[in-house]
Amino acid sequence: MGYEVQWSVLWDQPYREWILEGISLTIQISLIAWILGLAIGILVGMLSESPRRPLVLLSAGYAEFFRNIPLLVQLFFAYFVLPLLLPLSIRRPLYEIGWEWGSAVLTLTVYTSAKVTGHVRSGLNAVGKGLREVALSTGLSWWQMERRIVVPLLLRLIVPNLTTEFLTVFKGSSLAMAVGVTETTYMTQRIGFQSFRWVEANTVGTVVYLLLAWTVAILMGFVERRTRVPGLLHRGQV
Amino acid sequence: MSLSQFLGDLGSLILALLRYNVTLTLLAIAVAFPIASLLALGNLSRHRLVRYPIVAYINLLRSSPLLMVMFWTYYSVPMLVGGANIDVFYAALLALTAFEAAYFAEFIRAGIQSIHRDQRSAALATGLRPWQVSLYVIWPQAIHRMVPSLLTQSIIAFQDSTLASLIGLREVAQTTTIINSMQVKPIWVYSILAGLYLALCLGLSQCVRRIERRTARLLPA
Repeated sequence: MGYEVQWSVLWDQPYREWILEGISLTIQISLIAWILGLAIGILVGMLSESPRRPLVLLSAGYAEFFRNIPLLVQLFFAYFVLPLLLPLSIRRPLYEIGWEWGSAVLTLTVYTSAKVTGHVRSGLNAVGKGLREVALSTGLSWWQMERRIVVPLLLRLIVPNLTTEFLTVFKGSSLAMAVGVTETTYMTQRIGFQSFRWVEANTVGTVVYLLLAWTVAILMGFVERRTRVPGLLHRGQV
Repeated sequence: MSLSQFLGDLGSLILALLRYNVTLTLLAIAVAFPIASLLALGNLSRHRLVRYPIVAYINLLRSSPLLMVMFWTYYSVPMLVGGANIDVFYAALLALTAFEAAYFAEFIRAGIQSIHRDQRSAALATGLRPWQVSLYVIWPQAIHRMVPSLLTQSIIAFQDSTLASLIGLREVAQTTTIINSMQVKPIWVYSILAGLYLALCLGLSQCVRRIERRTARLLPA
């Protein structure tokens, strides 16, 4: 007894609608989480440059904490527990805007920012003491050195890592189905259960993530080439 | 919340963790490593017929979310082979193994490529045969280099094993949800779950860091 693949099923309503909704939610959640996570991650990572020890520890602790708890567990925590810790006046609007969506974006943002923090911290190491000493000895103030020398170089150094995190956030967004966000993976499962056309639904879901990954790889490949630091080893050359 | 309740909940979570998540992860790593070694060797092969399918497999798996892979092994593949049923544990194991093999393969390849070319030439010049060079000169050093990244990836696999709850395996995350649905104390149970994972993964990643430092000392780049 074989399985007859019928691709046309996917074009029937409501499946077509579901797939499109899933894709748009996947892109939406991932993009928001990546941009916010990038900003927060760079800020928290830069804290490790601070002369104040508590801030340095905070930066290290932030990265360690969120990297060592599974994303799904963080999501459950954000979805089930976090609202209970907030006063009722805040809790109600949270549920009204759809906390499924909100908790997924929040979790992915925090997770991404923790990973970015780690990259920023190792990037700061790679910038090195020598360069800083040279910069200071030319008469730049500490702040000018950070702003004009260290940060621009750091950002260029970590671009390949940011590509990886960009790819990871798309894959991570699939977990949002666990709290009922109707993104691509959720819709894959929904079509599967509804129509029993699992193979078709699964193929479409997989292809969506493949195409997204390729798009990111191509876009970020362009950015990587533009921001490459001359004289350093590049991806694929190590 | 009384101490006995705390210990009771902690106990059932640890039990679920050992029985499913730890078992799943260890089995997946054990099976994935030899497969990944073969994939890495094939990926370094000169023959395109060997290399291209392997590259395609690695890229496909690395671009898919693990959940999608689990849907394949649990729902789609059994349908394709004629409506057979697969136990959810084995479906999760199959997915995690296939997934980690792709990631491991890349780390192993990077480890092999990190050994300088001159070492191969030098070893060949001493009269060793090519397979002896690979086995006795390149592989032992490469293995040392790749151990930290393989272990880090294994910790991620251990975290990812919680995803099996979404296809219905009664592992630790699902056990937590079940306890919560019976006793309704989300703050409590989810904190225990998060704390448990945090303690384990933090401890494991500290060990990896120690190994990494020792490797760096023994084998300078």
